[in-house]
Amino acid sequence: MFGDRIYKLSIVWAIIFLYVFMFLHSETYAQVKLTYLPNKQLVRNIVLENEHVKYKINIDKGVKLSAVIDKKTKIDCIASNSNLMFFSQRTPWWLDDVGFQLFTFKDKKDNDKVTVSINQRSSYVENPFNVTQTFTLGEGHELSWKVQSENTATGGRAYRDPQTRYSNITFPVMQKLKIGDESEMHYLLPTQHGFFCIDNADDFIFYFTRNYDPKMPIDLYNLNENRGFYFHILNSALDFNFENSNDFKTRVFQLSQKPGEKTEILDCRIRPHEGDWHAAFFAFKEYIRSGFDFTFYKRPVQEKYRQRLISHFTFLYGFDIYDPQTNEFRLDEFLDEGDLNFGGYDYMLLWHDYPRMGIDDRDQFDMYEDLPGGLEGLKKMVDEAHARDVQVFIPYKPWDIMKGRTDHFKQEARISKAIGADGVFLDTMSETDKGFREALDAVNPDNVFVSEGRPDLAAAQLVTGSWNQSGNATNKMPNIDLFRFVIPEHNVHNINRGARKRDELIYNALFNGTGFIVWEDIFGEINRYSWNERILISRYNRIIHENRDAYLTDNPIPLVADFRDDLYVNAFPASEKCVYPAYQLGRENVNRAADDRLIGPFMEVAHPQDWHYVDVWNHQAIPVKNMNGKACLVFPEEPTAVMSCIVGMPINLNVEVVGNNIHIQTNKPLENASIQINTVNNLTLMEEEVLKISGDSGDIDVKKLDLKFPYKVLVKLMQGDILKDEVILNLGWKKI
Amino acid sequence: MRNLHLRLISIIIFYVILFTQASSALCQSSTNNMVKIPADDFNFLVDYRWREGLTLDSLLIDEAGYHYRNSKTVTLPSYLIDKTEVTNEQYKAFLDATGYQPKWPRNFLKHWNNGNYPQSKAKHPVVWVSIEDAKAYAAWAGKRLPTEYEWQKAAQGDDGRDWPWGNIYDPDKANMDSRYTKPVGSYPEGASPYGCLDMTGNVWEWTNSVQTDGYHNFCWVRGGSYFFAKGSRWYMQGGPITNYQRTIFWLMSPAINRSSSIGFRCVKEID
Repeated sequence: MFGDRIYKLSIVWAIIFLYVFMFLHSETYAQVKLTYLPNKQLVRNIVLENEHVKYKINIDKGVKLSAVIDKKTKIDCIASNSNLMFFSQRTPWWLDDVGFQLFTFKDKKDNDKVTVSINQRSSYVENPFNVTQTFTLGEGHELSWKVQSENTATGGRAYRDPQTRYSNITFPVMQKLKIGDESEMHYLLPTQHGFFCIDNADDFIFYFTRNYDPKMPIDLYNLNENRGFYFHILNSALDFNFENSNDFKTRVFQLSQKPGEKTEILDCRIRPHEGDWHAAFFAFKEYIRSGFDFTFYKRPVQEKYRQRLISHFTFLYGFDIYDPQTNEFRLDEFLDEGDLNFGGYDYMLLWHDYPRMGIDDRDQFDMYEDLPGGLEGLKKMVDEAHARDVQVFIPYKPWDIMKGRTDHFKQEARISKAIGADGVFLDTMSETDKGFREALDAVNPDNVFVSEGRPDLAAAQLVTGSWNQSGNATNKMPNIDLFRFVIPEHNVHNINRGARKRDELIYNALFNGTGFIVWEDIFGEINRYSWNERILISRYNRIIHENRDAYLTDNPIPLVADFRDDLYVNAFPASEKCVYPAYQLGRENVNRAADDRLIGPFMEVAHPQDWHYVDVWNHQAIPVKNMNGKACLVFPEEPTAVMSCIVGMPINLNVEVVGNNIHIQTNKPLENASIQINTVNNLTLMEEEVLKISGDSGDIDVKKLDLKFPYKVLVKLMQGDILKDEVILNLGWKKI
Repeated sequence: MRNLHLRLISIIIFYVILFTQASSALCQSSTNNMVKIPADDFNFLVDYRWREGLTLDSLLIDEAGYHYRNSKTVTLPSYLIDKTEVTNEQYKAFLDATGYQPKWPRNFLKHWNNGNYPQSKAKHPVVWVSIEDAKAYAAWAGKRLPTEYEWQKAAQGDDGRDWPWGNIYDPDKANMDSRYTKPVGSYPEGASPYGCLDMTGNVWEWTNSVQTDGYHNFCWVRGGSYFFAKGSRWYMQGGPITNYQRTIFWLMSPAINRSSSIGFRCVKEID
């Protein structure tokens, strides 16, 4: 009886199975489903789907994308397009351009992913290309797409030896994809080695590493539609650099393949997304970071080094530091001058050899011994610098090979140990050897590396800080250093040694949250900073230090959305603070008559209601206005400069001015708190520290503040040297 | 009375002759081994490579590449210049006579032992002397360091030649790429038009050119030395250096300024 039931059930199951197999071939692996429609024999469509997304691939004399359904919104993300061919490889001669007729499929499961490979060949010998496209879907939204092509030519001219074949390649799915109104579309594009632009290379530039790889995603988006598509090209035999969006849309890639040559044409990830190119950026960031070894960034010394932002390049032959009368280094005066002129240094790089080295057989290690006081004298100077909380770095020069020493790393470690240095500057280098790290670790592990060249990602795992001397790119605003945003743990220092004008370089550091190098004596060539630049650096110095709790976030966001085309804003969010450096491009051209000035609401924020905002660059409070239920920041008056730096913080200070008394209280107690009363210099906008009260409350007699010239009074709640809240009082001459 | 006058005149003449001869002999000793450079206008043309840190004159970018050039005609009176670089032996005589001790002695005559030079090096140019040490010697000898004009004219003559011996480079006419200094005058065929020896090679020579740009002290060293650091473009240029090439030398501690490859020669003005 029981066996009979099993028998009947088996037949029912077999019929069901056959039905499914015959009419709807579908395979389910974990959460990913692969379906051939109408079935595997008559296949016209292949559907790859998971809980988030459904990709429909059409096979009709080509492999085409016919739908991308977002399962949450049920929207077909490519609805306005006809079927888009993924890949087109055509022979240049029209008689040979005969297309593909032979399509075959394979599928497989691999670690919760489903892969389907589609091979296409031609039944005509004129088209020798054997193309395999592989599509893989895993748990997320991304579809992996790989293209490989082989030249299978068996005969050539005169029907004898097989020939190298040339082909024209396009990617219609990328190049012809439309999202909403085409005229409203924007394109994030790679433009040259490590540079990326939006729409046009002349308009705006991001930069990353100095290498061609890794490649930045290409992103197509429409702000009106609030959605886009990215194509993250991980690898390609083709050159994916574009002048502008038109170049991208019309590019025909050229390829030559020898007989039998297999070419990895593309390894790409596709994904539809909401919003603009930021989705592509975050995917890119995640991709980079998932393969990045952060071992050396997790050392305690790195956390300290990250906070060392302003440094001085110290050419030891100059009177800035060397006193020929006493034959000694005048460290205290040097650091005093640094405090006065630039707001102080976090570290100094001692430069003792080039361009003198080579006149005799003393190499870089020997030359330390002949500095005033020798190694002992240097040690004393380093100790004095440490007593003033200034670190000291020493240079290493790989090119100094005249003595044929094979123990360079050991020698540098010896010097570092002997004088108590805090870091090694890798001259002319953008990478180094683990052996160097080990040599330093053996004697002085609290040393970090900072390289002159920008390291690529592999090198940046060991070299935890570097100079940013991208020249015009660094010197231009509002360029974005994406490296700073992808690996924020890495300490980047802006420098353009030959620049005669540095305003934008300084703004760039404030905007990107990078360090800055003061370098006025370039191996003897004097390139002094103007007094105006000194002021800018001092102001930037104070801001980036007091707000480093947010600036050094691991999640900085490049170019957050704002309401104006001419305003560029980065965000450095932390739990109790968010810094928004903002730059207005073309401020000088803004039409004042039409009142296009930067006044009024300019961006939306989404912080708790008890937050308030202060422009710490221009010293004005930034009110929040409620617009359609959304909190928007407002410029009450035009900022005094192209740059602003808005800091959002929870309100904690409670400041009342009654008669001549300023009464200060905090809503919440704060450990290690102090109240700093700074006045703002009317000419320089620099802060003058006039009063400090330990603790988080107190009363101040206004008469004690010299308010004849300063025009604003800042009441700052500090925790250690970190700004926790700030209230701006109009008690100065403007008020008077 | 007349005899008395004659006797007096004879005595005066005797002493005048005696004095003249004595002073001539003295002069002979201090100007021994010096050559006389005649008074004339001198076309001083120096050319030097462009590199970071050299912006004291305007940069030229032309068919000859990146370089700095200074050119002017100077009128030089006649002067005497040492035929050779000052030797260890001569410098020892100065020390013995004066007991000179530099204020900051590190590396002073580093190659000497117990206050004396190695006997084999007696005729080699003295090295490991700072420009102050060189000036002290010159002052003692009643001389001074040459200006760049004087140095170059002595090396070049009046025809603007590239090398002391002519316009064609010849590695056998100067000590330009070796491991050690050589006795002064080892290359008589490398003599300049006025007979000065080792104007190229052997040791760089301090010139009387210490100056400040307000931010550093520096001077120009001339002539090149035996030493040629190889392996990198970033080293200070060594090896063969022509008559018209100058090299800036950023001055710092005397210890680091003293070098195994820098010596000097002196000039003496002719009244």
